[in-house]
Amino acid sequence: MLKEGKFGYHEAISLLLITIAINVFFTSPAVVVQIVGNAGWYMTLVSMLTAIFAFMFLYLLLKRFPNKNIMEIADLVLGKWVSAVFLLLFGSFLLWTASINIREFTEVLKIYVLPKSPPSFIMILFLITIIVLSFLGLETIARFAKFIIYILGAGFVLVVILSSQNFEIRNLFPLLGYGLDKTLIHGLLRSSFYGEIVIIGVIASSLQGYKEIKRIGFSTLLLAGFFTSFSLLVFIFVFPYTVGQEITSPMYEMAALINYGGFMQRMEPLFLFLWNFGSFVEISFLFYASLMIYCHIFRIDDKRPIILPMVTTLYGLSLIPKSIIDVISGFVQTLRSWGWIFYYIPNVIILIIALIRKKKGESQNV
Amino acid sequence: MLEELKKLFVYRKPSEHGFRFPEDPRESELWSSYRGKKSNLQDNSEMGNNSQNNKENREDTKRNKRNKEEQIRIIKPMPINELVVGRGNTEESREKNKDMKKNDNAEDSKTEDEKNDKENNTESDKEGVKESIKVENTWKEKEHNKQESGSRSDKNQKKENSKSRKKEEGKDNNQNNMHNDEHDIHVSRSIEENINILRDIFNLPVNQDVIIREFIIARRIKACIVFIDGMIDKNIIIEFTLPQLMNPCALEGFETGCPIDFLEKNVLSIHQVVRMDNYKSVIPQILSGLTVVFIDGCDECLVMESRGFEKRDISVPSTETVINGSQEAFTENLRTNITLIRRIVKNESLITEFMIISKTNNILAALLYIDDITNKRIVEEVKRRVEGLDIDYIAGSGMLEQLIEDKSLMLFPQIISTERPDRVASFLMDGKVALVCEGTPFALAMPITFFDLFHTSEDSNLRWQYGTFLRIVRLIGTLLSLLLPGLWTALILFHQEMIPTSLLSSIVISRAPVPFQFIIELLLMELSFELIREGGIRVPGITGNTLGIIGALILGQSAVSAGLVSPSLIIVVAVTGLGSFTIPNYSLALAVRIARFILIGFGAAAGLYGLSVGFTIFCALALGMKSFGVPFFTPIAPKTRSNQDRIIRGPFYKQEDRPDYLNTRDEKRMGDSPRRWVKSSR
Amino acid sequence: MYKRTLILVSLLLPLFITGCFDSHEIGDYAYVTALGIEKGVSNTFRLTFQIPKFGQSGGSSSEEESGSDGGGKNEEMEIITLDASSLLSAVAITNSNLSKDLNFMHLKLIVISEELAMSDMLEETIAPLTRYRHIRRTTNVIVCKDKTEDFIKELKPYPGELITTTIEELFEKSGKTGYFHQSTLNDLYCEIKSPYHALLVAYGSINKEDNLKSEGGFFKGESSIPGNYYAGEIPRKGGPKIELFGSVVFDGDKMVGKLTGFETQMLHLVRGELKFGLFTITDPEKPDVVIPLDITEFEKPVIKIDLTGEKPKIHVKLKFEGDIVSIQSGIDYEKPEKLPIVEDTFEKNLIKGIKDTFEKCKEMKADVFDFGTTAAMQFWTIPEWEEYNWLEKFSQSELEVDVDFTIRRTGRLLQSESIISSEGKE
Repeated sequence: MLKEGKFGYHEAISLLLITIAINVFFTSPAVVVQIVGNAGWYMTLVSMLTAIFAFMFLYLLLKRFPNKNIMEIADLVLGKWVSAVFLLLFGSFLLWTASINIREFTEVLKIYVLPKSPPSFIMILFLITIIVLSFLGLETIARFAKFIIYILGAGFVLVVILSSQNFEIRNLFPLLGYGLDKTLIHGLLRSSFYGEIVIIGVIASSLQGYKEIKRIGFSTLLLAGFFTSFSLLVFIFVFPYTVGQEITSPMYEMAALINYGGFMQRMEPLFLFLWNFGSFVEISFLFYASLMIYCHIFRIDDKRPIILPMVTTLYGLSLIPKSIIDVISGFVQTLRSWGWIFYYIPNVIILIIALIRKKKGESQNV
Repeated sequence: MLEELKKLFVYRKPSEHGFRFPEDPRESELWSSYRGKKSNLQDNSEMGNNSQNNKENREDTKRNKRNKEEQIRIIKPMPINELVVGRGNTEESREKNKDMKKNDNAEDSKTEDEKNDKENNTESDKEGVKESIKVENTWKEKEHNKQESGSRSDKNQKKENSKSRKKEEGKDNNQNNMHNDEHDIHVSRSIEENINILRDIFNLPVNQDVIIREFIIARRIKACIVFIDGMIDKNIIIEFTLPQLMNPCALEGFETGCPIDFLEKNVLSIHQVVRMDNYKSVIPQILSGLTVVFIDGCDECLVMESRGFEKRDISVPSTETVINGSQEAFTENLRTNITLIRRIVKNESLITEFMIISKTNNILAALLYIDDITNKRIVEEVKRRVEGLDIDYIAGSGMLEQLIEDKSLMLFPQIISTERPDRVASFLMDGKVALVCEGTPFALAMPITFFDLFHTSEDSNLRWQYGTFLRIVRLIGTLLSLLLPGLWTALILFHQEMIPTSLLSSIVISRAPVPFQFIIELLLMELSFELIREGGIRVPGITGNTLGIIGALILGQSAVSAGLVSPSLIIVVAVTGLGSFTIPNYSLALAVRIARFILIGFGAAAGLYGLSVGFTIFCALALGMKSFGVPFFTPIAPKTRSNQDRIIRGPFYKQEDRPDYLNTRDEKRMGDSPRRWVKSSR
Repeated sequence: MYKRTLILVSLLLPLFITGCFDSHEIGDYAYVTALGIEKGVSNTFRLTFQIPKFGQSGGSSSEEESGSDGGGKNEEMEIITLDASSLLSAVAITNSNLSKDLNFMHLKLIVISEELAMSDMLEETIAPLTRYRHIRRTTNVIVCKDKTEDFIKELKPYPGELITTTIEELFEKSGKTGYFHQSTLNDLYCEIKSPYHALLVAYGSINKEDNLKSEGGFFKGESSIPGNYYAGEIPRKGGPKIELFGSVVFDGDKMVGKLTGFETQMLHLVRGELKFGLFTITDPEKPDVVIPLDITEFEKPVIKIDLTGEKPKIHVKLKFEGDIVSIQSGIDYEKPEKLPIVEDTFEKNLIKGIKDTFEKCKEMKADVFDFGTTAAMQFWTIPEWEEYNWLEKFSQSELEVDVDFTIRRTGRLLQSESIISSEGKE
C-alpha cells in the first residue's frame, strides 16, 4: 500500500479539531438552541464528556493492537469477510456524512452569499478542491489544516471580540434552559457532534503510536468541547433563545451584526473565509478517510485512480436531500442524534470480540 | 517529537554518521582537484559493441540519432571532484588512502559505504573496466533511486546499485563515453605525433584560437606548449615558462631519459603544475585556460595553471539590495565567487567539490557545504542529482536550478537563487548545501523553505525589532500582492454589501464613465502594469528606471482622464505592484505575480468563495511541495522545533538552533550562554 | 502532463472570464438607502425608496474634479413611492421601470408610519425583512409620525456628506444625548419575540417649523422640563427638517404609546445606556432660573427585583457624579454646605422623572426598562420563566428608585460673588 506519510501532534490536532468544530459555524447552533434553549453551551460539554468516554474504547482497542489502524484491527478480529462488511458500512457512513456536510455548506452558502448560483456550481468548485487535496494525500491535508488553523483561530477570535458590542450576558438566564434532564439527555445523544474523533482510528498508522493517539484524542476533544461551548455561549449572548433558534447560520449573522460605524462594519467576509477553509479541511478529511477505508477493503494500493469515481459518488449522495429543511432537520439532525451508533458502537463491538477471541496485536517494536 | 521528525524526514540524525571524509580536499584550490588524478579512462577494448544494446533505451537512441545526424563532438564531463581521491592512479597512493580511511573509523557505516565504492573501483580496475564513479545511471535507475532516496535503506540500496552498476557497466560506460573515445589517446613519446594529434583534435589550422608553440628546451629537447589564446595569463608564459625552459642551462644536472620529472621539480616556477598522460583529461584543461607542455620523449605532459581571462569586477547586488549589510555580489567567475564565500566562512570544514555539469560546454559547478554541520544525506542527494545530468549546454545556475529541482510543475521555487555571498554563507552555516555555477552571478542553495525565500540578509543584520517590523511589512506586501486584486474583484462583482457605503459611492462614481466590464478593466490595468515592469527592464540604458515611473504615472493619469479605467482601480493595481516589490526573492515574486492572475480568475468566478477555493488549492500545492525532502512550509506546517525566526524575529542571541528539519550534525549555533558577559556582569 | 494542463485550463477559462451567476457590475444596482413603509391606499402597503444618485450633481463635463472629491458633493435623491402588497413585489414592479436593479444591501434606515405601527402589523411587515438576504440586520428602524413618503423626502444629507454617513451619525446621537432610542432591525426582531422586555423604537417626525411661535408674549413662569417633547414639537427653525426625538413603545408588535425625549432619557439612565448627559434642574431657591449639570454615570445601575410577593418589587439604584456648568441665579451653591441642596434637587428630579416614566410604561404594559432580563435570573428553566409571564406581571410591579449624586467640580469658577450695581450688592 502506498505510504500515507506521517504527521505529528500539532497537525493531527488541527485536522481533527477543524473537522469537529467547524460544524458549529453552520446550522448546528440553531438546532441546539431549539432543543435545549440557552443551555446549549454546557450541553455540548456533556456531549464532549460522552465522546471522551466513547473514545476510551477506541483507545483501548488501538492500544491492544499497537501500530495498526482500525481497518487492520477489524481484519484481525473479525476476519476478512465480516470486517469487509463492517468497514464498508463505516466507510459509507463517513462518505454519507461528508455528503451531508457538503450539502449543508452549499445550501448555507447559497442562502447567504451566492443566491443565484446553482448548487451544482458551488459543489463542483468544492469538489475540485477536494480532488486536489486528496491527490496530494493525507499528509498535505493535515499540513493544510495546521496552516489554516492559525487563520481560523485569528478570524474567530476577531469576530468574537468585535461582536462583544452586541453581548447581552443576561441572555444566559434562565440558566437551565428547558430543564436539566432535557439538556443531559440531548447532551448524551448529541455526542455524535464529536463523532469524527473516531477517524483517528483510520489514520492511526500515520500517527506516532498509541500514546500519541491518546494525547491527540483527548486534547482534540477537550479543545473542540471548549471551542464549541464558547461559540454557543457567544451566540447566546448575542441572540436570545427565542430568536437564536430561527437563524440559519447564527455565527454568520453574528458577524454581520458587527457595526462600529464607518469602516468597521460588514465583517462577514472574515467569517466567510472561516466557513470555506474549515469546510474544505473537514470534508476532504472525511472523504479521504472513507477513501482509505474503501481502498483497504478492496486492497487497492494506489488511491489516486479511485478519487474521481469516489468524488462523483459523493456528489451524487449530496444531491439526494430535497431542500435545506430536509438537510437540516432531516439528515443533519439524524446524524447528530443517532450518529453515535455508527461512530462509537463498532469500536466497542470490535473491542468486545477481541477480548472474547483473545486477539492481540504484536508488541510495539514491530 | 524527535522520533516523529526522524520518520518525517529523509535525513538521518547527525550522530549516526559523525565521520569526516578521508578525501577532505581541505587545501582545495581548484587546481588541487586536478592534481593526483585517478584515471577514469575507458578501456578502448570495450567500445564498439554498444550501438545495438542502446536502442532499448529511449534516451540513448535519441542521443545516438543526434550524434549521427549532427556530429557534435561531445567531451565527457570530468568528474573532477572524484579526482581528489588520490594522487595519481598509482597503487601506493590508493593504499595510502585506504589506510587513512581505516584509521579514521573503520566501523563507520558511511566509511564502509565509501570503501565499497573504492573496492568496486579496484575490482573494476582489475577487470580492466576502468570505472568512473560518476557513472550516469540509466533513466530507470535514476527513478529507482529517487523513490528510494527517502528511505533509510538507501545505504544498502546503494551497495546493490553499485553492484548492479558493475554489471551494466560495460553498457553504460560505453554509451556515455562513445563520443569521447576519439580523445582517449595516451600521450605519445614523440612530440611530432603529439602535435599531430592536437592539430587533429583542435581542428588546426581552421580553428585559430588554439596556439601550439614549439620550442626546444635548453637547446636539447623538443617541446611545445599548447593553450587557448585569451583564456590564459600571458605573463605566466612569457615570464615564467618560456624563459626558464629555453634557458640553455635549464637542463643542467639532468642526464638522460624523460626530463618531465626534472622539469616539474627544478625548472618551472609555476605555482600549480600537474602531470597527465591522456588527452581525454588534458583537453578539458586546455579548454578551461590551462597551458600544457609536451616534451619529446615523455609519455606524460605537464599541465600548468595559467588561467587569466577577462572577468567582471565584484559589484553591488542588483536584485537583492539591502541598506544595512554587505554590498558584495557574485560575479560570473566561479573562482571569485567561491573566494567571496570562503572569505566569510573561514573554516577548514568548508568543502568545495567541483564537477562539470554539462557535456559540451563543460561548465564547472562547485558544491559547497560545511562538513561539520551539513547532513551528509543532503550532500549526497544534491550530488546524485547533479551527477545524473546529461545535458550538452548549461549556461549557469538558472538552468541548473531547473534541472535539479523536485517538481517542475510547481509554481514556487524549490531552490533559492541568490547573488549575495553573505546569504550563501549563512545558508551554509545553517547546514544547507550551495551550488555555485560558472556563468551567472547567482548561487543556488538547497533545501529551502518558504521562509528562506521570505527573509533577507538585512533582517538578521538589524536589531530584532526593526527586522520584525520589516518582515511584517513584507508579509503584508506579499499578501496584498497575492490577494488584493482577487479580493477586489470578488468584492466588486459579488459582495457589494461588504463594501462600506462611502467607499461604494466613490467606486460607483469613478466607475461610471468606464466603458468596460470590471474584469476587463482590471485585467487591462494589471497587464499594463506588467508591461511597464517588463518594458522597464528591457529598455536599454538608464532610461529604464525612469520609464517605469513615468510610464506608470502617465499611463495611469491619462487612462483615467480618457475614462478607460477608474481611479480606484489604479490604486489597487499600484498597491499590488508595490506589494510585489517587497518580496525579496525574484522567483517568489514572479510566482506571486502569476498566482495573482489565477486568483483574479477564481475571484471573478465565484467571489470570495472562489477566492478561497483558489487560495486553498495554491496553499495545498505549496504545502505538499518539497525541496530536497523538506516540506515547503516547514517550521509551521509541519510543525518542527524552530527559533523565533519565521515572521517575528527574536533577538539574535536567542537564535540558538540550526534548522531542525535539516538534521544537521551540529544542532546548535551558539554556546549555552552566547553572551557570556551578561552572566559576568550580574 | 502539459496537454492535460492545457485542456484543464481551457475548460476552466470560460468559467473565470464570463463570471458566473451572482456576478454583477457594481453600477448595475440602484442602492436604496432609506425605505418607508406605511399603509397603502390602492394596495396593502405604500413603499417609498430613497435612492441617492452618487456623484450626479457635479455635472459630467468636469469629470476630473468630481473624481477628486468623491462624495463631497450634495447628492440628489431619487424618491420612488408605490403601493404594493409586499416589499418584494414592489421591488419587482419598480425594477421593471428602472434601468437598474434596486439593491437593499446598503439600506440604512427603515421608516414605519405611526398608523402602521399602531395597527398590529409589524409582524407582517417588518419581521419578514430579516429573512430577506439583502437587508442587513443592522439597519436602523424608526417610527414616523407623518407620512413616510414625506419624511423620506425631507431626509437629506448634511451638506458635503453622503446620506448614509448622515444617517449613521444621526443615530450615534442616541448614545450621546439619550433623547431617542436607537434600534436596529435586529433589535426590533429580537424584542418583539422576547419574553424579557418590550420593544422600543425611535420616534421621528418632520418639524413643520410652526412650533416656534413669535407672537403671544414672552415665556413666563417656572422653566419646563428640558426635552419634554415628542418629535416634531420642538420649537425650532432651520437645520434639517426631520427630527428624531422621543421613542415609541410596543407591546409585542403593536404600538401602545410613545415617550418624550426626557422620558427616553430617563429610560436610558435606568438601562445604563446613557453614560454622559447634560441635565437641567430648576434652581431650588429661585425657581424661574435653572442650573445645568454635566452628569457622568459613576456606577452601572443596580437593579434588584423581588418576585416573592404578589407584585414584583423593583429596586433601582443609580449613582452619578457631575459638574456644575453654570448657576444662573448667582447663588453660591459652591459652598460645601450648599452643595447638597443642588445634589438633592437633582436626585429628586431624577427620581420623579424615572417614576413618572415608569408609571407611563406600566400603563402601556410594556417593560421597556429591560427589567425582565434581571427578573429572569431568578428562574431556573425556560418553561418556568415563560409561565410566569413577566410582561404581564410588569404592569403590576412597583418601583423604588435611589439616586446618589455627587458634585465633583464646579466648572471654571470656584465660587460666585454677588453682582454689584448702583443699588449695592444684590
